[in-house]
Amino acid sequence: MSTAARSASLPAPTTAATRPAADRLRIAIGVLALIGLGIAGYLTYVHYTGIKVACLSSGGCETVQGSTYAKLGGLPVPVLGLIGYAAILTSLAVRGELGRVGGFALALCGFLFSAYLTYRELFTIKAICQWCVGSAVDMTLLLILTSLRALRAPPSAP
Amino acid sequence: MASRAQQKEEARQRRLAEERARAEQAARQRRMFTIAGIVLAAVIVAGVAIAISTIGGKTKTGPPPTSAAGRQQVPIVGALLNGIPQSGNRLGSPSAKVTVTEFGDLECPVCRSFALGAENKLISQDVRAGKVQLIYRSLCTATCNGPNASWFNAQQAAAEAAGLQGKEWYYVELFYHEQGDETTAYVNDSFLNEIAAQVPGLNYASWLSARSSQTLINQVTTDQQNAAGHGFNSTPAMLFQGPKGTTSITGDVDYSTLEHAIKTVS
Repeated sequence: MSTAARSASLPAPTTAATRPAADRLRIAIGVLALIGLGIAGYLTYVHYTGIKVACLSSGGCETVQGSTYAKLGGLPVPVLGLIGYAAILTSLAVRGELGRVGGFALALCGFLFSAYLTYRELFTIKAICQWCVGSAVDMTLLLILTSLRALRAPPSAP
Repeated sequence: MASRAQQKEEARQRRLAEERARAEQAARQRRMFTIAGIVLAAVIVAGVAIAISTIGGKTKTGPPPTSAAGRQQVPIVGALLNGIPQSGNRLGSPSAKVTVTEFGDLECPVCRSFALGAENKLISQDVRAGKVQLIYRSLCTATCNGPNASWFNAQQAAAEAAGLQGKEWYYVELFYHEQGDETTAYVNDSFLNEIAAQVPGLNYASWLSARSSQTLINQVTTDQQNAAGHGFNSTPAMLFQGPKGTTSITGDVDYSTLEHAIKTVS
């Protein structure tokens, strides 16, 4: 019998022990992705209707939204966020390693781009939009949780 | 002393444990390679997005007024505005049902994008047809965040000075078409004068003596107070006024959004 065939028949250790923790991670990721969807959805709605964005800081949101960095290749950045958060939420429904690693990859892309946009806000646009900061924090938490989910789960976990 | 069968069983258990450990290590290695690949791919994807964003943020400038490409903007702006009535900061018929007041900053790249996009369509369709009149007012945004902050009043007053001859919108449109990089100090007397020299039919000497008038500078200040009164602090900001009320829009919106706002108030 080959090593591969034998290892396949070996019992998967710690699966039962790690399942509750894995479930909690999935729920937390789902909640954060929904929050992100809410923020991106609101900013997308504001963009396409042209209404004034609700903003605590005086004009920061409008300045950021009106800047050249608010679009990527002609596509409004909130739409990209909407797609990203929806994809992270979808990754939770994908079973196995593909879903876990896919979710981590999406969160990493989102985190890097959010970090870049925050840099632009602080040093180029010189205005802060609390919705963007909220989304950046949300994406950072998602990166932490999706990386834990990808690294902690046994390879054979569902 | 353990029997031969027990010894064989113990050896089998050890072998199984070793195989399990090896399989787990191989699985861990495969996962680390997968994650490293994913990290690399994510960094590349984010890097491409950042590059597109950075390039997009830097290339939206027009040709300098003195260049051949700059001179080519004159007939483009002429084709857009010729034949439409102008007076002061107004473009279009004074009896138009809907008034759209744009608060803008001549150095703001988003205003340029809006002016060359949705606003040009608004002018060529609704303003030319007499349905909408456009008013231009000043609100300092990009200029005040850049190295040209002290030139804001002068540049906006330069447009208003053209308005004294019924040509403010030629000045505004030419400025946007030939706008420079907001992070550079490209606006100076020479730049403002070169734009004026391109405005068709403008009495240059009269414009030159009018553009530093305190009355026009005061108007720029009043415009900004007016913008603050409407809660505007970004450009472009548009105020729509018609028989059915008032609404406002900010940002580089598309033409359908403008149309919707016009329908709401008309």
